[in-house]
Amino acid sequence: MRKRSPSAPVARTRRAPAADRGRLRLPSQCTLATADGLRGHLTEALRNVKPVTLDARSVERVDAAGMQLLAAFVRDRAAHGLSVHIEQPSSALLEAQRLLGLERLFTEAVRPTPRAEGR
Amino acid sequence: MTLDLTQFHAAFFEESFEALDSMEAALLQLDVGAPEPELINTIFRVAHSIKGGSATFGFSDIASFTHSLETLLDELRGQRVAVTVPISDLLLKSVDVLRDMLRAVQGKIPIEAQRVADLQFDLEVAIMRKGDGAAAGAAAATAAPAAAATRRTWHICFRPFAQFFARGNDPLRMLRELAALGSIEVTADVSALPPCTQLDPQVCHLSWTIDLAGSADEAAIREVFDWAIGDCELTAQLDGGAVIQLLNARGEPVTSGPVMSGAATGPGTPALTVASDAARPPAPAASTAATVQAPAVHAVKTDAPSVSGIGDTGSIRVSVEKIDELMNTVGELVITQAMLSQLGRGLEGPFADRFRSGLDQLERNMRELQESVMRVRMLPISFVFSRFPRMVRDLAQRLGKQIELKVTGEHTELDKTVLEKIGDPLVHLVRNSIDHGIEKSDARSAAGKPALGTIHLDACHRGGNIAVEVSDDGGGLDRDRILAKARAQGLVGSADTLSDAQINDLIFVPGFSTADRTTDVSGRGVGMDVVRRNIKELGGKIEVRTERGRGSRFIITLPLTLAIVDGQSVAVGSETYIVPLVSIIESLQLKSASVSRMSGGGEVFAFRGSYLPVIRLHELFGVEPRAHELHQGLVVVVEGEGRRFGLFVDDLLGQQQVVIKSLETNYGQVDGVSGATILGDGSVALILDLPGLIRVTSMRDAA
Repeated sequence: MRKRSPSAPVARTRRAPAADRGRLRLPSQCTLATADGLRGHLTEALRNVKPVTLDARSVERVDAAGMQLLAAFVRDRAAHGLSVHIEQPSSALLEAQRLLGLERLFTEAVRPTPRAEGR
Repeated sequence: MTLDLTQFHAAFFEESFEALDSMEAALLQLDVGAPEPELINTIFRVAHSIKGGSATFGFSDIASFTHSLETLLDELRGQRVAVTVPISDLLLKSVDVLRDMLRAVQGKIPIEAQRVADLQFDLEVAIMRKGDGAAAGAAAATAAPAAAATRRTWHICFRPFAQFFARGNDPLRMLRELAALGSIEVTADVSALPPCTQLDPQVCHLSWTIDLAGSADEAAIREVFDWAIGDCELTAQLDGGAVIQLLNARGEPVTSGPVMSGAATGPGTPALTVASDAARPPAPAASTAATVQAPAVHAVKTDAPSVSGIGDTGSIRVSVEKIDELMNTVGELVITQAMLSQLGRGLEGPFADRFRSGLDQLERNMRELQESVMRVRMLPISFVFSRFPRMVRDLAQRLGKQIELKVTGEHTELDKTVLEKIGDPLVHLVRNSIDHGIEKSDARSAAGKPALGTIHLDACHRGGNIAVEVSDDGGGLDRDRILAKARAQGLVGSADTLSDAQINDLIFVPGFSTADRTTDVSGRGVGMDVVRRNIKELGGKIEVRTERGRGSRFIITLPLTLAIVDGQSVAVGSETYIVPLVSIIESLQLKSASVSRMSGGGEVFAFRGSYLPVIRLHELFGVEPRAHELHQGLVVVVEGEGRRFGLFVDDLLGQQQVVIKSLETNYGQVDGVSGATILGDGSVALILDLPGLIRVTSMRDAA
């Protein structure tokens, strides 16, 4: 595995209010409309050397644009040997993964925790 | 990892019912002989999306039925089957059956399977009977649900262009539609996906290969990507077969057979895309002679089971409860604001002026907020009007009359609650017009009128109200016959002479009917009184104008909303009452000379050349007044149910918008009071119901 040290030091935590950049709550809408904002958060989390957890319980709506972004994130993390947990992926997210043929990419890079019931 | 689809059922049903309504509207517009291709496309798309949705949710009966329907529509679209009256009847019947099937699934109730099977058989027969026999066999074979047995696998290569997302396309939706056609195995190609840091989320970097196993044909696959023409490259290959290019490298449709859809118009131009289509403004309001049209037909474009409920058109579906909650909160805010204003008035000190100007600002903002929230509840009356073209058509056919329905003003908006309750009265009026109003063609011709009768539905804003009008150019009300019947039924004494208005009013009397025999359409004598009662319950009124031989007009006036009323607050003793501003004619101080006492004990006063009775509010409500003599207080001249009278009060307080709180739900029904409101100082004021007041007074006088 190539292991590249992240170019920016971890200490730059200005924009993470929860002081925990290892955890990111995905918005209820992961779509083209929200993708720009989401990309900002994801690129920030990208360089975190600690495991990153994506909290996906409240994702209600996704489209291919949103999934494309998540796929790029997950792939890039894996390429750097860094792990991502997807926590409680909602049924909308799982359906999109399956229909878009991205299941493998996600499961190989990610170990999801059991998903929440009833969402 | 099973996906729980039940959560999407409600949205699917709701959208399907709406889609069926628009399909029905489009069908009614369809000209026999020369159908408009765009209309057929619209109808086709509805059938297609219902099929897709029902297959996704596992409603196989509906999917199978809509499949037959869709196939027939496809034949119409390809002009291999002509649009004839029997065909359009068949399609309308299919809409009915589909609606019932959806209702049955929704309510988990059984449906008459034979009826569905019969109609599906008729559909299949119609498909088989199409023009050219050669192609017929093959197409019908793929069309028939029985052909589902022939399973095959398509290898589909789907390469969206960079601008795919930006044009409003979502591959996820297309793949979902493909999944509805059979079982799919999807592989995404992420090789072109740039690093996350350099990724432009608006650009599509993914492409897909899809293995679709099932009975889907080429046309079905094309249909899925119908909206993406010009935005992607698409090939499909049947196992071992040749590669069929569906959309070429420029995204243009490559047609191998009959042109698939209206979207594939000019082969050279990157034809219609979702984006350009969504941007197209809705058709201008059909001003004359058109049946209900624009909004409904346009709404059809909501794709398949667009699961989220968020359409492409920038609108969102919100439950009524949420809006009502919002409305309620705004109502409370209005009360709080009124309370603050009242406090502010008495305030003194250095900040009092600034405080008051802030309050003024608050009041303006409140009013705007209130209006915006109220507008959210407003829906175009086309939601009600849209059911009439079908009804008129069916009834006219059954009664052997020729009737054209004219609809205008269908974009007029009114409160959802009012809208829901106005449907039945309108149905009744239209039915009456068809049954009693419009004469048979020969009678019309004999009277020198065009054989084709016209019923006109119209809606418009009039002051703070909405006026809805049902008019016809039929025979009009028969004054003499009504009077004779009323006398025979003992509703009018044989010696009484009545004005025209009073005679017209007789048709609203319970039990009154002039129909010589009862039909299943109308004539049972229950109806017009119910119509009037329903309209009154909405705070509206109905009047009729008629001309013998020329037709009649029923004019319904309705309030814009039921939640808020502009009121004049009046003081009686220590109590405050609200009089709806719309019913106030004027307020005046009487001179003792202008008041006369009647022999029966009532009081009247002279007002513009006539004498009006006085209702003393304090007597009616048992309040100790400040003024006992009429000339000491004020008289508010009001009108209720066409009758004018004076309300005797102590003082006028001010005009304000008040939020109506139902007395019936919070306490109980009180005659003469339509509701209550909370005033700025926190006290409760009763809102007067003027027609009710008249009733109470006359009952009291009679006792």
